[in-house]
Amino acid sequence: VGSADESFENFYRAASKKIALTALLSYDNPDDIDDAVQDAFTAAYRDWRRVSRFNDDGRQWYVMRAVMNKLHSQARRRKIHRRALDHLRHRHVETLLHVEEAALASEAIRAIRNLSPRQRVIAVMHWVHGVPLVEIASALGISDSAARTHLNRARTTLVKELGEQAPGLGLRAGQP
Amino acid sequence: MIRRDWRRTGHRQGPLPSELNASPRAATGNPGREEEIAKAGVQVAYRELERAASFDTDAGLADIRRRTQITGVKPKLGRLELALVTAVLIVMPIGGAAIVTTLGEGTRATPAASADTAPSPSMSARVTEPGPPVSGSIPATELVPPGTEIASGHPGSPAFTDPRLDAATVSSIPFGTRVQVACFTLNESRTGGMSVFYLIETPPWNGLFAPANTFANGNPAGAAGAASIDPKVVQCPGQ
Repeated sequence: VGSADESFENFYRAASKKIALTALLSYDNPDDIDDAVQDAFTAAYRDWRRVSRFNDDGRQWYVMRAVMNKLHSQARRRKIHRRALDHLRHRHVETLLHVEEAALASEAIRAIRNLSPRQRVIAVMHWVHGVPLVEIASALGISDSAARTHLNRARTTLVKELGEQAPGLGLRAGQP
Repeated sequence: MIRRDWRRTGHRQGPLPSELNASPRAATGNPGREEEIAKAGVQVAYRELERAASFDTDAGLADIRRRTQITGVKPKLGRLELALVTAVLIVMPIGGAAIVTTLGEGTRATPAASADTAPSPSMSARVTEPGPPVSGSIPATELVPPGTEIASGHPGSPAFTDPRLDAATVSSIPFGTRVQVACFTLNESRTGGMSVFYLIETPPWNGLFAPANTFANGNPAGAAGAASIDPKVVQCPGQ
């Protein structure tokens, strides 16, 4: 158990912030993120004998799936959806995850706020963390084509919001 | 804002003004380029958030330790370990019962051995407690300590004041009753075919003599006659 503790601690230090940020960018209920992340890591620790056999990506994906499931069900249960987006602007996660208020006002983050939570989590997992759509769809319990549709809609919305900002995103100038 | 109102009310009121002029796809007309923009936007947002955010991992680890301490959660056992623990938990009671049964059968098969073996305190407590007379047979697994005999005659073991049977029967020891015997004495006259008598110590028959062959003599109750005398009982002095 001692080596398991050490191995788990290393994993937690390496992955907890990444998972919390992904959750923060994907869901509108920042007050629940700490709990969801901690619950997921506690579950991973409890099942560490099995989870530790995965590689780093597999472990992170295991925890991320648990976080997504919890936050998504909470979001659905509370029916907060889009109206709760404002919470992200005015409230901090007070315990573990601390975010500077000013950063939340950036163009890119504001653009993402126009996506639904499901579109966001798919976009972040796929475009930031490189998780294949098939795995995301499986984790969310939706079909591959539904995941692709969510991603396409996210792309459309983001292009509308960020089209003018393309040079600022570090991209080459595109053809109109 | 208009789109949001439409989603709330559920009634779409025609195309949005922006949709009249151009479809979203018309932003670039190039899906690959659109994906580049969207992907870059999400990555920039993540990086900005990453720069602006801090996560207290020490507090998080302490929180997980606290949670697991409170709930007693420990890493789960592997399948093999779980199977072993389950097997041990199942086998232990069965094994214990088997050991007790074997011990009981062993002592029944060799009564002399049981007399040589000092019973454990718990066993001793079971067999020496002076319970009421019983009418059934004694369980085979029950141990009988030295000096204790079980009346096995039907309707009971007759008790006499004199081993020569000159006196009348004064009492009868009910079947299955365990009594302490002090010694045995011989009836040299062999009157009535009874040659060996036990001198009983247990009240209310203390001081009386009862024919030895009406006791189990180390065998299960009901086996009167299988052995005429218990070899562990010593002969009374003066004979």
